[in-house]
Amino acid sequence: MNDSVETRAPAGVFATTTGSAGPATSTVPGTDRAPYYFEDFVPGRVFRHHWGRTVTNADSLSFATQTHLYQPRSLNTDYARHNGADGLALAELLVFSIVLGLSVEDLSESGGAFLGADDIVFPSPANPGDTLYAASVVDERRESGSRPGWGVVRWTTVGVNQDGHAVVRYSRSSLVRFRPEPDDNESTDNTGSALDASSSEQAAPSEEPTS
Amino acid sequence: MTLTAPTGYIEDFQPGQQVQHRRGHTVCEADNQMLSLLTMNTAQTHFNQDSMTRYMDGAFDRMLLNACVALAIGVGLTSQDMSENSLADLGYHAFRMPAPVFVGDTLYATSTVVSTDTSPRRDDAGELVYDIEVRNVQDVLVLSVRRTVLLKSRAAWARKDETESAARTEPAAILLRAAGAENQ
Repeated sequence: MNDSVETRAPAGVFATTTGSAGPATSTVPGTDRAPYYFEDFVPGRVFRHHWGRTVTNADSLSFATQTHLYQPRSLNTDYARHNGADGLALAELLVFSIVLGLSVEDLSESGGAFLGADDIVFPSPANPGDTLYAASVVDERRESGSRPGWGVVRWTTVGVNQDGHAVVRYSRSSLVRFRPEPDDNESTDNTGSALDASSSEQAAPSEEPTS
Repeated sequence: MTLTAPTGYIEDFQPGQQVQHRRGHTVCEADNQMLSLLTMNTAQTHFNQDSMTRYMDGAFDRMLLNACVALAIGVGLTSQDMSENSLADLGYHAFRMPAPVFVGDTLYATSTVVSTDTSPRRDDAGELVYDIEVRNVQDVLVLSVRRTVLLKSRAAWARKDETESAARTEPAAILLRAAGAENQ
């Protein structure tokens, strides 16, 4: 897509100050990846997400039953075969949720409200035993009109299985914080900007992507 | 009774039809934490109460329900009435959460049929498009989404489904009859 493919956050952003004036045994953050902020989401930039996830019948049955998904094709192997399928279908929203879950650390873990998802489609079915992988591209970003220090970013995410077949594709938007001041480590995750956040932001049409 | 209702085929839906789904769902800690972790979601707002003091400058004092989980529960509440006879999910559009959902909230779903069309994918099913709205007991809209499912047609499937249903449940009925029960 372009040459700015990233798998890790820029170094140094999350540098610790703990113990800097004390003994040699300094404390380092347990998770070595810094969160990405608004400035990092340059349109066209591609993120390849971590881990992957093998999905089993047990996952799908747990998810389906815990979410009242009363569709025999998702619950009953006999009936799925009666319908002409090879066996149980993985719950499509499980596939969507796992692929979105894999994208969270890169895209939205710096904190900010979910603003919506659009055009969620399942180009080919995911089957029990498949391993899912995910990548996202930044579609667009803009500064928030009502919330200084924050912006709105929209990404397109694709989930593929081990054979490279797309099993889910969608776009998602979130509020994303601007990068905190670099010498503000004490409050990096706490008070990057002072503002009066309210839940109404999630509903504000002005914060939703126009596409 | 049959394994699926005889009223859930594409012919049974008309544009504009509204369905108030009977069951509700009270969100519990396990919904949020277990399903977030099951689905690899690393946002602490779904499993770390302490992190809420830092999230969005402390705008929320309680953990927020994962949007994917909210979507799945909302869709699930509609599924018996709308998609019991579905063959596939084709898509979801305009998924929004106008208000946050917290543990302890009870959710109810309503559906409104947008369209029913023949499917270019196969001639034994149609495509049902319907809008889902999920509200809490204060009648606040917390989730909306448009769902498209591939739904069996009655003409192609009703007889086969009835036969399958009878065959699968017959062994249990035979055992009951052998024990002296009336045939139901």
